[in-house]
Amino acid sequence: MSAPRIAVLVFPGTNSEDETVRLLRACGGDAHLVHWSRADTLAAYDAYVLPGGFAYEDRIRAGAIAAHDRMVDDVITGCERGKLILGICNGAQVLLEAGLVPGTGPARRPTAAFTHNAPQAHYLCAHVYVKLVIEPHRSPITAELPPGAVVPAYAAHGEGRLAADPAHLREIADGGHVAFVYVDADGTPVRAPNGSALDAAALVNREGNVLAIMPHPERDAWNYQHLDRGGRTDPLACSGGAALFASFVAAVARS
Amino acid sequence: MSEFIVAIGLKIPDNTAQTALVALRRLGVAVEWVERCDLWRVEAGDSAALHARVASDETLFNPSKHWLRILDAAEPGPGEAWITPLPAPGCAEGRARRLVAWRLFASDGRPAPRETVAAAVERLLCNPAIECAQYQGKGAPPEAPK
Repeated sequence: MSAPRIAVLVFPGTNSEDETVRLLRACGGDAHLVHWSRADTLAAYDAYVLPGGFAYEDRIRAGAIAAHDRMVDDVITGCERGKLILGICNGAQVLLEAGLVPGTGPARRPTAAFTHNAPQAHYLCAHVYVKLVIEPHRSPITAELPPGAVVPAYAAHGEGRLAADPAHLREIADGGHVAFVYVDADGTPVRAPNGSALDAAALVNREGNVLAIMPHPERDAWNYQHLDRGGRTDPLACSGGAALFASFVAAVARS
Repeated sequence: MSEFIVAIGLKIPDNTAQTALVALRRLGVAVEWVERCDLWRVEAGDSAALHARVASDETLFNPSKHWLRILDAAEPGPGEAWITPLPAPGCAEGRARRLVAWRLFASDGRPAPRETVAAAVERLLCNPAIECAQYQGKGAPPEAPK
């Protein structure tokens, strides 16, 4: 069986594409960079990953311009056809601006956003843990993770706070759209370090084929990147952050 | 003390406004030109003193690249949309509130009609989950939490 073809989208200002491709390939995916000028090639891929960065310099709002890019036309079409889509950090912001997550409104009519951190609107740079709080099979992307999986990651954002009006926040909570919340290393819930509503670190759409996660698991993919190396002897062995990508690639292979 | 609105915009080409123009046209919104500036709602004693104070604050104003005005009107004019970020729950605003003002122009060089401004706001310029839009005949800025 050939490896699933995964497109890693590159907008002007994207900056996490190389480590994302590297990890997807390490997990068995046939991952390739697709730049904004080659949007015409996107339809041939099995799945899409929107990596972190500052697409279009975050002009107007984080993710706002990229959400209307020609490439996202294909992402929206792919979403409707059930393709698996993962957005990380700025990629997550793009998915929310595109209305694909939580997906409670029409495409490109956002009902939520990852916006300026609170109470201090400062850039957050920290090692964090996030915990899967949906049943793993709720989304094919998380189906290979154990229930309650704790995934290490690095938060690196100034705009990672989930915000929506009260009605939409209820819809997000009641609809099982919060996929990961912030926890400590033991999996005990903690207040989101960015003030995120519902302490949400990641959202999933109703169908489960689109996941938007703010912290970067791909930056804690190998032991040498992990904050606490105690007992980890092989620096090049996969650390916990790779698990989400392995689950994603496995899901694409099954789809 | 009275409320004033301080407008600070770029004298140099505004890449964000240009990007918005291209995106709006791609979305089918009929605009010929887009301008943008920051607005600050502040309380002050008089406008001349406020102007002098802001002009000397290099974190807000760089005379080499910015223009600075104290606005006469506290509401958007024709072709304008003012976008105000909604405050985070439980967070008090500072003494100055920042908005972004967009000015849209039609092909005849006049301010874009209200329906064009509305379309631009709805399709690109405002995310209603985190922002409030105000333009002629629409909306008032949200109250800052006390």
